[in-house]
Amino acid sequence: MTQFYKEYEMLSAYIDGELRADEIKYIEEKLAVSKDLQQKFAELKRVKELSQTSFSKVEPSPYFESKLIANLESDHQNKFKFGKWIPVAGISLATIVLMLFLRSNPDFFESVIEEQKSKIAGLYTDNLKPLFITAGLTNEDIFNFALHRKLPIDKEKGQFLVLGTNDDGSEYFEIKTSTISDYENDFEKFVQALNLNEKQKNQIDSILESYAEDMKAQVLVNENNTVAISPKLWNYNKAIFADVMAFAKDCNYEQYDKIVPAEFHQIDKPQLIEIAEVVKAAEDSDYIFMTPDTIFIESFTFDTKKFNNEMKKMQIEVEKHRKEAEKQLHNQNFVFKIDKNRINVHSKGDKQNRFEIYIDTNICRVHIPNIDFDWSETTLPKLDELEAQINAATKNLQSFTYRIPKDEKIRKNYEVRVDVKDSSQNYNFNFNIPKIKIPFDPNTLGSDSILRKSEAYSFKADSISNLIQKYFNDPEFFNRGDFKLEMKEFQREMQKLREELLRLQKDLKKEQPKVKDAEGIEI
Amino acid sequence: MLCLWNQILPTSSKNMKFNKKKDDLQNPQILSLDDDFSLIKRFIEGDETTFRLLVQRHKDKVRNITYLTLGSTDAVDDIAQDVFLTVYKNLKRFRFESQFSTWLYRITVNKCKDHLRKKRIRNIFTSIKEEEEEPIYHSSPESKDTAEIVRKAVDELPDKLRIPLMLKDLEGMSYQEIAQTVNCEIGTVKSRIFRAREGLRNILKPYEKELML
Repeated sequence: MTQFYKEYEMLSAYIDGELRADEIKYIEEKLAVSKDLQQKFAELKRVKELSQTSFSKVEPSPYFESKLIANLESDHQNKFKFGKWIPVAGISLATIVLMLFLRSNPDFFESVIEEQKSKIAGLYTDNLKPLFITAGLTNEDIFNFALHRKLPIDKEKGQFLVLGTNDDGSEYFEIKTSTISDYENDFEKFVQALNLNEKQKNQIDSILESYAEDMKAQVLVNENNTVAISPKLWNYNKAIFADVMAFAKDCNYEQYDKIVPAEFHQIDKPQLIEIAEVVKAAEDSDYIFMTPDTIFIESFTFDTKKFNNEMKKMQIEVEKHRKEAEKQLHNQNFVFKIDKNRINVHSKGDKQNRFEIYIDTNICRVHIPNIDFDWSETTLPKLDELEAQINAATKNLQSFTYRIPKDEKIRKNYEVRVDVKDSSQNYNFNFNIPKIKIPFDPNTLGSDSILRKSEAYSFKADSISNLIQKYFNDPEFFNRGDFKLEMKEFQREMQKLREELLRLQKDLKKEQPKVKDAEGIEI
Repeated sequence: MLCLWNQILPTSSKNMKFNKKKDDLQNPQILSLDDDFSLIKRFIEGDETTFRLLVQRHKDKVRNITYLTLGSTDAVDDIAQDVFLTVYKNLKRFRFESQFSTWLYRITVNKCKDHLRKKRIRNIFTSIKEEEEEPIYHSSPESKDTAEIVRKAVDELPDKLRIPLMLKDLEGMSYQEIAQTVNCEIGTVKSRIFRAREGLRNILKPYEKELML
């Protein structure tokens, strides 16, 4: 620091009355002899006068205090508003407790899910009854099932449960209307073709009847519109076919070769019997449950014995009631007080379908015609209801395709296709997501290269340094901590600017879209 | 009355003379009513009404320092409110190691610096984005209003030079008080005030005739 500078600085402090006595004496002595100091003294004094007189006091703020008190109260209330933290604290606490609990009970969720699953399944599986009890499967039906994979649900309406196999080998079933005439008397033709004698006929009947009992438990329905189908149905189809073919081969080998397709000729009897035995022995308790809400596979055991017992009891009960009803109806007498004037009046109508009324002076006897017991009034499942149940349960069993409408941004449709077509209920979601080529590499956005190239944005580093020099013309300033802090803040702001420029660049690119699809075709 | 005396005198001399009087005072009970420290003690003990007295006493000074430091009236009340909110939150931790006013003005100056820093950064980016041809702080030769010319010239000074100059020339603070307020040495204050005056004179050179420099 030069002597002049030090003396000038002292002059400034002298004007401010901030010098010690010895400094005052020193500067006054200097001032008395130095014209330069006198001129500087005048300048500094004038500058002080100017700065003192150029600023006025700030206008008073009449509401300052009340506003401050309001701010303080607001701040105070916010500080003690524990209520707003209660949800956060509650959730945090609940999370911690849950984490601790799950740590000690890792299988908790799994067991809860299983429990709920079985509860929900219970709603649907309650009171399931065999579908074919009402349809009444004949040997012809069983035979047709083995040959054509069709089971009659409602013969009058021509509804069938049909098993099928897809090209990929997966199996499916469907319920559809078909004409029974296609396969009418196939069993009879089969018996005739093989020239079966009476004994052999009884044997084949016996074989088919044995399956009829098992078939009962393969398709179940209930009043909750649930249809449960055992996957074993497909195996039974193979087993019955194998059993029938084995029997046929055994009975009449020559005819067998004529009536059976060529591919079955190679299968020998032991193989066929083995197939049947394996199927019968399989212990698969899973059922496919189709409900109006969902489709699921769940283990379920249908107690055929119990059901048969119940059915027998019910039949006995029905028979008993029928007899009693008939008895009561036949013996029912009605006593009237008779107007004698109406003696010997006979009712009119068909004798078979009318009430016969005999009246004399004392009594009036009405004979009710012989009424057959109406089976429709029993509590057996009704086919109409079954149809509704099956329709409801199977209404979702179809493919559907959802297309997202055209959008300028996407420029190609997304396609979601759901196929529900096989017995294992596989849902296939196909997403055709287009590959969009963009005119620049997004990975380069983070580098400085774009900024360097972006002269178009008029971003000139020189302008910043000029400004900084203008504001901070003190060389020492740049080494100070507060400047460094400011520079960090500045860097953050620069980063924001850069992001803004990049967004701008993206927007500019968007205005000239040249998007190509995977094949390189502009779309 | 002591109360009246306190209002009339500027803070620096008030405190100085106050201390002198304190020794001579016969009735310290009366003194404690107007003393910043006593008010703060009462506040710490739970009497929050004393805070209002502190606000009443210092609000004008705080607002004026804010105005002089910022160079405009735009954010004066917002910053002054913020200053007193900060004081309220921290008053119970006041250590009685310096004058309350010194602590209060330091908070004020720091808040102003913070505000200016943010404003300056915003201005830098505004100037880049809009390609402003000139910095915002520039004297207009056409302006004939002396006070306005000087105010603009003062605005062009860096904060570290301008703030001590304003505290000295407008608020009448001593170098020591300024040093405590801006957190630097007295020698630095002395140097900065001189450099501020020199810088001001250079900026005002085009107007030396009008301003009789």
